[in-house]
Amino acid sequence: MLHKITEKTLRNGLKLVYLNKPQAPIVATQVWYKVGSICERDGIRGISHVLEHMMFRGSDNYRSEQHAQMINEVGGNCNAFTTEDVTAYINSVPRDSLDLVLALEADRMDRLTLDPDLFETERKVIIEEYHTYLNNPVAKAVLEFREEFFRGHPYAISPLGTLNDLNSMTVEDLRQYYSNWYSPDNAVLVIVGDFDEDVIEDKVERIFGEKKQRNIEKRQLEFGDHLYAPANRMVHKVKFDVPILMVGYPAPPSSNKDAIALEILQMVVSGGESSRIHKEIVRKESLAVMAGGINNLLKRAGMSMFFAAFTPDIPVRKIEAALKMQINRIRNEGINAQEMEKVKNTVLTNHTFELYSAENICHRIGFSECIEGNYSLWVKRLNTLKNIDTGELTEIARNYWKNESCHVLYLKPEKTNLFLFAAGLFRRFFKRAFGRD
Amino acid sequence: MQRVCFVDSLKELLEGIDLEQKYRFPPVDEYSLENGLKVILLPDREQDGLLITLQLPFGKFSDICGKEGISELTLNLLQKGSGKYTAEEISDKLENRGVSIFSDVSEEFMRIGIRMLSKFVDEIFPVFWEMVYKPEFDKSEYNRLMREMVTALKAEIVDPHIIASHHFYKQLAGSQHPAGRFVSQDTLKKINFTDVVSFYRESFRPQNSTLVVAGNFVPRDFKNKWNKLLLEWKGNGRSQVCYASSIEPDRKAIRLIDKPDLTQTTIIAGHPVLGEVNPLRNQIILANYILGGGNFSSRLMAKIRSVCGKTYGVNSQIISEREFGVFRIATSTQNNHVGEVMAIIMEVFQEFCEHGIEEEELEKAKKFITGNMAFQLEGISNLVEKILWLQYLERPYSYLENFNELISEISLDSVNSAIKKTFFYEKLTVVTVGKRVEIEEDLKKFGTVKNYFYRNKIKD
Repeated sequence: MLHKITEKTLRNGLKLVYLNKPQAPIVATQVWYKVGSICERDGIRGISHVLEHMMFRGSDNYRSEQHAQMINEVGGNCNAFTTEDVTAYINSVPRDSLDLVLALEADRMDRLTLDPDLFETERKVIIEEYHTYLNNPVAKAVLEFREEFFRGHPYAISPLGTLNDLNSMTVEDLRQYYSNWYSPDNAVLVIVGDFDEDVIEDKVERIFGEKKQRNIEKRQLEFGDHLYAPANRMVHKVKFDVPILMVGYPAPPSSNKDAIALEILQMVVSGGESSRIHKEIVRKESLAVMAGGINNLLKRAGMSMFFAAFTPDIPVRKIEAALKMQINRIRNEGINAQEMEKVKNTVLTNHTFELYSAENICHRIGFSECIEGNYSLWVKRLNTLKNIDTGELTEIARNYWKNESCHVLYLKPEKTNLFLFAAGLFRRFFKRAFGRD
Repeated sequence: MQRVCFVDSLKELLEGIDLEQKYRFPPVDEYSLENGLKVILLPDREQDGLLITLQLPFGKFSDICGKEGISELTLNLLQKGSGKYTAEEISDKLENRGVSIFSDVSEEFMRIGIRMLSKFVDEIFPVFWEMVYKPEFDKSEYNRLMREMVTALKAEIVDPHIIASHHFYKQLAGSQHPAGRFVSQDTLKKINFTDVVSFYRESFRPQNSTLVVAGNFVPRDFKNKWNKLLLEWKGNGRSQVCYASSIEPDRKAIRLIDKPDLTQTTIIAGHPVLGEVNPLRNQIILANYILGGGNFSSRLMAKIRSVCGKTYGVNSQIISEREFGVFRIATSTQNNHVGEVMAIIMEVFQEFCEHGIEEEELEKAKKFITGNMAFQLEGISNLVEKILWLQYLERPYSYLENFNELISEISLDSVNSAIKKTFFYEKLTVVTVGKRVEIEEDLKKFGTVKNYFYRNKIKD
């Protein structure tokens, strides 16, 4: 199916990528702008996200919130999100409503109203959103961890921005930012679903063709390569009852050829109950209650992260040593053929199930095009995976998962429940003495 | 001038859209085996995936009183060893083939299933089925799972939404009703290993169960190959299935759960409603869309977020089991806005209860609900979800096929009459989780406030 994906770049630079998928009478449309928190400077941290909110607050031809309301009126759903690298607008509608979506998206591409009163209201909404994160002790600690991990790089500050900047930002800042970054040559329009492919290019040309470009490409070149902050160890006392340890290693940008290799390694170490850390740390040694990992691959840098949740009677140094031992085993011994087979099957299964949903396909195309550099990288991922040499993986693990560049965050509960502590010690003693729980 | 033309052409576009499209549910092959197991086969060649799901009509509401969590524990323990395989062998066998196993305990049903590539069915299906009908309840796996569940509960204790939700149901239903009881460290401590084995024997019987297989396979081949294995699951007849009863709304004091570190307060307000058996169900769904179910098209969102900027999100929901149901409004706002947000919620809800909705609002709600049906039938996961939902409610497939027609025929009068019979401004139960010293005075304006502390045991 994916070989039928077609692309066309309009004269104004807007890239259209589309795929006809007629199995359900719906169509998913997403507009991805290559602007995210990485494009921000001090004083306007969080502005990409603020602008994302304001994109629903009216343009020349539609009043505030009318976009969402019109999509709802045809039975569709719309949403948006902002990351470090992109801001994306999502619309999924019954097939007959594609023209409506295109008209709505075209209007806000260059005709956003940015009304000062509505901005003041929306600022309050965003500050409420900010507080939702502040009130989650783990989310807050993770934000602080990444701030340290990416220190000196724009990725250090999350797309939510800072409260100071959210409070001081002006509507003029927004206008400037909108004018700088919202341009057809900085956007990718992805359409997947049940539509007439014979006319889609003409239709998009008719609706978006007159939009003027602003030559964003040149501005993007100003970003340099990221130099990772030196390894660091943080202990956060949190109002949370479960001790958690996180370790983070530098990872390549998502467009780097090593990214897929690291994805494989990550899956072997931490993917599911057959993973190495689950088998060793959770099951065999009973040190952690849960353990896992995730690769946070961004456009210009990344973080390869592992974590373990454990009981208060386990010394954190043991958890750290156990996690690192599994990582070092990969660095020293690599992975075996069975593990490689598992990764291939898992990736193929995930890929197969993604293809049932027009919105998922749309997202994968948008992500791959804007973050990894080209949507074909997603399409060809399975072939790339098949050709990876397991020996090469060991080398890649050695390059990225180095002890000297490992950041550690320990979320230490403010108070320890003495009863649970004693119960944990008893359990461990029992296990040692009798070899079972 | 140009602008007018633009809007006009859009209007034409909207008018040309067929919003009452009738959907056909894809054909399924449905049969019952001699052991009482119901099997539903849904071939779908779109991709090479296969989804196998088993549903039983027991959920959280069926947990033994005082031993809440037993259904979840039992379902999870199935995955930790069977007649032939240890827990580690099961995860190796499944994950090496890219198979993921999922399980979910809902209020009145539970599900366990696998998601896989169809080419591995011969190898994987027997492993899955053995987990279901021949589980090996291993004591050390049981202990490990217990620890996992206790840890998850300890992590939940700081989540204001979960705290608020537990208090809301306790306040609304009380400990005598299953909706007012939930898993806690205390209830887990009361469960012992034998309880789990007994619970399995009582609940996991083919006569109670429905198996749905969807994806790339040939039904005839499936029957020839696997019916014999499916029949190996024996059971002692159908267990008695009890669904939670509906309860009458009744005004209670406002619960304030103190969590001193919070800068934002979570608010839940609502009351019981009749569940899926309600003959006015569709009217209520339309009404709720207008009140708070319709995101940016809803009255609550428009007022509290879009106009006042006092929240990131607010919604109202009808959460329906078969007989028991709940209507609830949920939002969060900074502590210093609690009084104002509460006042808006009360004002909007009172207006809704007393004056109902307008024709124009109803038409928009109908358009959303009928148009959205197209999404609910996309892909095998959605189709299986719908099949199992219909099974649970004992409704025919034609219910979905005729759904848009039913919605289109609903009149404004019938919705407004349903609102009067269903929603009660004066009987709202309100629960808030926030920093007591900053919100208590504001809350007192709306009724008597009873104080609790977030770490304490949740009482009636």
